[in-house]
Amino acid sequence: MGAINADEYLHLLRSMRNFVAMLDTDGRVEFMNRASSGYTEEDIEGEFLWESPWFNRSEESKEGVKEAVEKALRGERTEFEVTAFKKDGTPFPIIFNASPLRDDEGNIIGVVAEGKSITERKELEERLKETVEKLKASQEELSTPVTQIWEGILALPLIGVVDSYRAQRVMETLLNKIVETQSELVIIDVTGVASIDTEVASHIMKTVQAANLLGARCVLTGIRPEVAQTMIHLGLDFERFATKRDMQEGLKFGLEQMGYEIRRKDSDTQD
Amino acid sequence: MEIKVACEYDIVIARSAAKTEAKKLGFTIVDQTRIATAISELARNIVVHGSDGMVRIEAIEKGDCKGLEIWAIDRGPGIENIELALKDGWTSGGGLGIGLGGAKRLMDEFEIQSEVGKGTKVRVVKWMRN
Amino acid sequence: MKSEEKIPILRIEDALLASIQIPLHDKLALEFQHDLMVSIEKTRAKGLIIDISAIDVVDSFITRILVEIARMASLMGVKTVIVGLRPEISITLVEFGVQFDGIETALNLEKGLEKLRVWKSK
Repeated sequence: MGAINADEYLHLLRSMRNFVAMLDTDGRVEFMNRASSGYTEEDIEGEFLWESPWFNRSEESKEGVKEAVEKALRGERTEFEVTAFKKDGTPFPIIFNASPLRDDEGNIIGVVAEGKSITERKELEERLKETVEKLKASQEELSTPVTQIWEGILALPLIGVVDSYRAQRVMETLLNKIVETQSELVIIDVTGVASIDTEVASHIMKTVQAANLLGARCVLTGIRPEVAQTMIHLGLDFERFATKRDMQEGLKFGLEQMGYEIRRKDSDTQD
Repeated sequence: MEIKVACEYDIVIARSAAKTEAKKLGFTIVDQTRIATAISELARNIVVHGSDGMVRIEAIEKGDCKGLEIWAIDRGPGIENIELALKDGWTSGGGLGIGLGGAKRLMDEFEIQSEVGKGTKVRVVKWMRN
Repeated sequence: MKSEEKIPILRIEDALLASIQIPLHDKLALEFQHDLMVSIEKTRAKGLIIDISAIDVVDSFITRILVEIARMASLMGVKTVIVGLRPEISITLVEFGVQFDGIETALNLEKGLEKLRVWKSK
C-alpha cells in the first residue's frame, strides 16, 4: 500500500465534510481543516476554541466547549450537542466532539475538536414531529366519531381501547356536538369495547351526566359481559341512562321516545 | 402574577386572570373552565372568611410538560379540620359546602396547609395533556 | 344601598325570562332573587327561564343562587328551567360534584319553553 504524502493528508483533511480543528495544550486553535460558516482561518486560528466567534456569543456554548476541551486535555472524550454561530450571527446546532490528541508515546499533545452540523437532522425531526401530531389528530377524529343519525339523535360508536385521555376527548366532542345539533338523544354503542377500567367507566358516567345537563338523554348499547361486570361493581347509577342490546334497538327506542311510530308501508293494507 | 383578594369583586378578577393565563398557555376551553372554577372557589374561601389574601398564578414546567400553578394564600382564621373541610357537604361559609373538595377534583394536584389563627395556603396545579 | 345594575326580566308566553349577562355579586344576587319573586307574583307567571349562556364560570356560589331561585319559585308554584349551559360548564359542574338535582335544564330558550309547556300539560 502506498504511503500518502503530507500534501495529500492536507487535501484529505480539507475535503472532509465535517469540520476538524487541532488545539494545542492550552486549547488554542492551531489548525482547522477549512474555513466554514463565513469565517476564515485568520478569524479563528490562535484563539482559544471557546473564545472564538463560533461559540463566544453564547455563555452556554462557551462554557460547554471550554469544559469539553479541558476534559480532553485530561484524557477524556466528550460528545454533545451545542449551538455554534455563523459569522453573521445566525445560530445553528452542531454535534461537537473533543478528543485528546496523543503522540506515539501516548502523551497528550493537544485536542482534536470535531463539529458536525445537524441543522438538516433537526429540521427532519421537526417535520417528523409535525407529521406525528397530524396523525394523532386524524386518528382522534376517526376514533371519536359522533354522527347525527337522525334529527335530534346522535350516535357514538366507541371502538377499541378506550383510555382516560381518549374518554376525555370523546366526552368533549360529544357535548359540543349535542349543542351544535341540539340533539336530545345520544346512543353510545360499546359493542367494540371489550373491557373498560374503573377510570373509563367513571368518564362515561360523567359524560352521561353532562349530556343530561345539556338536555340530552343517553342510551348505552352493546354492553359486553366484562363491561357489565365493571359497571355493576362500580355501582353506577342506572337511572341516568337506558340500556339496549344493540344500536338497532337503541335507534328504535330513541325514535319511539321522540314520538315516532315505525310501521311497514304495506302493513295497513287489509284485503 | 399576583392578585390581591379582599372583596367579592376580586374573585371575578382572580378567576378571569387565571382563565386568561390558561388560555395563553394553550389549555383547552374545558381545562380553562376547570381552572377558573377552582380558583373561583379558592378565592371565595378567602373572602368568605373575611381575610385578606392573594392568589398567585404562575406557568410551570416539569420536563416536557407545561402546567399552571396557582397559590391561594390568606392570613385568615385557618381551618381546624382539613379532612372535614374537604368532605362534600361541610360548610362554614354558607356556600354549598363543596368548594375545597370540588376545587381538588377539578385540578391535577392539590396541597393545603392551614393553621388555626394563622392562615391557609392552598396550592393547585393543572398540567396540559399532550 | 341598592346596586346600580339590574338584571332585566322579560315576559315570554306565560313565563318569565331572565338572562344573566353580568357577574352576580352578593348584593345583586339577592336583588335579582327578590325581583324575580315579585315579578312572578305580579305577572302570575307559570314558568321561569334563567338564561346562563353568557356565564363562562359557574362556581358554588352561582349554583347556590340558581338552586335557591328554583326552590323559591317552586314554593310559589312556578317551575324553573335553566338554559344556555355551555358544554364546558356542564363538564365542570359534573366533575365539581354539584348536585343539580331537581333543577331542570334545557339547551336553549326554545327547548326551555317546550319543557315548560310539557310540564304544564301534565
